[in-house]
Amino acid sequence: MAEKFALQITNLSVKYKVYEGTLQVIPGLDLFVREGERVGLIGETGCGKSSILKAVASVLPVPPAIVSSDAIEVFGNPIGGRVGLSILRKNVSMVFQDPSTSLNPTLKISTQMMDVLKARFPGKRKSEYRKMMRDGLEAVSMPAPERVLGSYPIQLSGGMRQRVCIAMALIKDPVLIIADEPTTALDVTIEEQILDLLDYLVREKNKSLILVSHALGAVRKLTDRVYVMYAGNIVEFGNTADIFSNPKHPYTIGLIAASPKLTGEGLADGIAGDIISYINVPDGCRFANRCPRVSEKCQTSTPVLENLSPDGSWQVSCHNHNIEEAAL
Amino acid sequence: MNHEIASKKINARSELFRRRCYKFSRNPLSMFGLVIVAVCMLFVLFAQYLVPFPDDAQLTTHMTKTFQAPSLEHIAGTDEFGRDVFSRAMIGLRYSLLTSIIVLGLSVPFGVFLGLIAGYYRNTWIDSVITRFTEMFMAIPTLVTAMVISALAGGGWFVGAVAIAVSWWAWFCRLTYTSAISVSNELFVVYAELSGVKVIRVILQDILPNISAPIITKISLDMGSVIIIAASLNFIGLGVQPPTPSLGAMVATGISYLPQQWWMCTFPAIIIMLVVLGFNLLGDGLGDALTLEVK
Repeated sequence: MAEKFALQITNLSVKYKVYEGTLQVIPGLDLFVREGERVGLIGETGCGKSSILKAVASVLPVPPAIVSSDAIEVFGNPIGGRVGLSILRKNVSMVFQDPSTSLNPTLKISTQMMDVLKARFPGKRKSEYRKMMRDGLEAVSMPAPERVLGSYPIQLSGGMRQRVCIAMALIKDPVLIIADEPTTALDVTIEEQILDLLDYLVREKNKSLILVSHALGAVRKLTDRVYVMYAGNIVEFGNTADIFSNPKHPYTIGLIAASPKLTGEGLADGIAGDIISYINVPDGCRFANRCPRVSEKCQTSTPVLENLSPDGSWQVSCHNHNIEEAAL
Repeated sequence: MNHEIASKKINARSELFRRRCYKFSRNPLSMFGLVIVAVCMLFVLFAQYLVPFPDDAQLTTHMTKTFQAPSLEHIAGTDEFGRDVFSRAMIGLRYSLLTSIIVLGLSVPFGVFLGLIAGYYRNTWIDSVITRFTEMFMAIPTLVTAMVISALAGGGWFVGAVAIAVSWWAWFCRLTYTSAISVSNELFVVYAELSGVKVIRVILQDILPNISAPIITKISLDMGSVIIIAASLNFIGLGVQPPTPSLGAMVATGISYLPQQWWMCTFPAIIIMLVVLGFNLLGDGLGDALTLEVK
């Protein structure tokens, strides 16, 4: 293959064994991120976004989770096993949702960053590590990095903590950064700063990025391609511009319509109903119970991803995506 | 946006310590506990010089003044050999606290270590092995285990202490295990794992400091509980051997002189009660102050 993939997931399935039965969260999913590409992952709460990310990072608690896949490859190297794990640790970094829980409250920032550096670049002198940490914090435009290094997380504001987290993710020099709702816990002004920073750093250092977010505006601004997830399935993916301007899957249409508009047309529409239970997954399309375009076929046969563009870069999994809005 | 740290350079650790001290001192009950514990410690260290009749701790007899009721000279009366009950009780307290310290000194490191391992490797066979092993010890009451072991090993207060420790660690293991599981799911542990930080470092740096509050609290509470178990052992004649005084044995002897010589068992019992109360109040206060924590 000519293209280089930072991350390639083939047929990933995640189940959780719980008391009530087995939750079929992700039935089988393909996802890829090219080198230097920024990819968005959107979908409502509980649709399995975090499960994918945690499966990639190999940090899902097993059991209760049961993870299986044909392949999860980071830069062409399968992860899993001892070698794969070390490749994963070198090349993949995560930024989490809530910076107040992703930093250890009992350790100074310097100690925590030092741990990451020591694991990634072993055998350097302390002064060298110190310099790398300082540079890392300066890169996220942190004023007074020395003072921040000597502080505990409690002494920093939410925005500063998230900057520290981003700096910690970047000093590893990974090829892929996974940002799991990096701005959800922050207020709006800080959110803007952090997103700009992330955008700048990822572009400048030519990293690949997976951005999970409920802020569709952020996804639209930061990413090249978008995956739309519903109930553990990718329902549509393609170039960000195409998806946002001309969504095909009824769920994507609903999701985009549900976000409030600056032009002020009153409250946005929601999507009626709830996500399906993962215990007794019905036959057919998982979105059928909420879909405005539902037809008989949707109840019996599970839709698969179909090409919308000739090169397969835009795909949708819906039986009725061709129905025009007017026909409804 | 960094005004909160820019204004002045504060040593973060001492700042946190000061805040905890403040929170602790705001609670009159914990301060009361601290005072009791401090007085106990004073007697543990300097009982010889503080009690009116230090010689009475040994085989002295004063046949002229047996069974004297409490008076100004003997504030807790005298026993069947004319020895001062107060002096003996305070010197006996030293052995009780020493027992507590030995029991906890042996059982805490062992229990916490196993609990950390089991909690970090949750849901694996390591977890199952350690947990089942722990439950074996928890299934039998501590006092029974301690009685059997110290009876077989021939008594003596040190043997008694070790015998208590043999089953005491299981509770620390369980406490550490449950706390470690919840901390292991925190994102900073996940991140450390993803960064390839060494397992031993994750356990000692990321998990242990974050579960220290409940452990410290339990240590303080258990100081009192161990005293009761040790006193129970003494009561049935195991552990500290006469003539060395021990609170439990003094209560046991005193019971046979009830109700006429009521002071002989009442005063040692009151001291046991006060010490246990003191450590419990201290432990509660510590628990509150330490969970101030950093969110």
